[in-house]
Amino acid sequence: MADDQLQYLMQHAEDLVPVMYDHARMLAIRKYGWREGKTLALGKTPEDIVREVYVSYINGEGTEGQRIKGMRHFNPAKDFVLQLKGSIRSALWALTDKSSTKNELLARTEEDAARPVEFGSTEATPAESADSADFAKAVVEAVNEHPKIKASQDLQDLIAAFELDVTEVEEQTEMLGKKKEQITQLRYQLRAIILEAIQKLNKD
Amino acid sequence: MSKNHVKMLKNLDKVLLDDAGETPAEVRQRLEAEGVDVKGLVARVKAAAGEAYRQRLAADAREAQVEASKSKGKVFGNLVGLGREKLLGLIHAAGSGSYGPVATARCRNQKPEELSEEDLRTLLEDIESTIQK
Repeated sequence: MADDQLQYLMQHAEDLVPVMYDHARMLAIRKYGWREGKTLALGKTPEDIVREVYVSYINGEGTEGQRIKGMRHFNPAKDFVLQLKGSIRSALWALTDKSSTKNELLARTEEDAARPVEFGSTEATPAESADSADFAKAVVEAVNEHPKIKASQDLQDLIAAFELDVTEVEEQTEMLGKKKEQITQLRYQLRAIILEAIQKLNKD
Repeated sequence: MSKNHVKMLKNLDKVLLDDAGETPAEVRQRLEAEGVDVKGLVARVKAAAGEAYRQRLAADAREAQVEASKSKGKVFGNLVGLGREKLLGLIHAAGSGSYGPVATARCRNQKPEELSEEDLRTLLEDIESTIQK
């Protein structure tokens, strides 16, 4: 990491840390069934993930071009915040991967040690796919049934846009005949509703 | 129907995970409204980052020290026990090009006559480490 990037990381923590934490928290809730007051795999929290990613960039200074465990480097050609978010995503994924049983298999006997270990497929099993479909159904239904959605035609229209695969702000602006700022505000409201629905399901 | 729900949730993920419309200040404000102690969070991450940075600097300093001790004596020999005149002689020789252009450049703008014997040794060790690099 170049010195100026390191300094940027140190001097802009006030801006970067909340953005990283928000992303870690969203991913943890959405992808890893996390909710406030609980821990992720290996007892970690979203805050731990942010701290570890932050420190890994600082530790990576001066080791550019090398792949060393616990060290990360910035690519000057890519967006800074996107790289930080990508690292959060990767750290969360690695956490669940590390905690999976395949990494904890220890040979108990010499015979065990000699036996080749077969790792299972990383593809979702039919049961996992069914779980994921059930989860999606539960979230979508909870969002549609939310009192704030029921009470707002604008939010219902926004949901209809998402159902029609119209997912980008610009497209929604055009489809719903609203200003960009209005769509952005509606998306923030919808975001809070989705989050509430998922957290409730994670709790159940 | 279930496939539609999965696809719909993927679409809604864009609102949760990809929305880049908020400024950092807005994100901070929203987190605070959701009950997150943002000030404490930033302070804890900054403290960990600061500690990592200090450890990094200390490791770099140790490395530099090891490098310096490796190069000690390789150019000017053992400086311990050399008198002021000999030390000055070495610096003048370095300044006039006897030890190469790097040493000459390092001696530029120096006033060795004004330095103590100990400082002369330090300067020579410094020049030595520069030449070694």
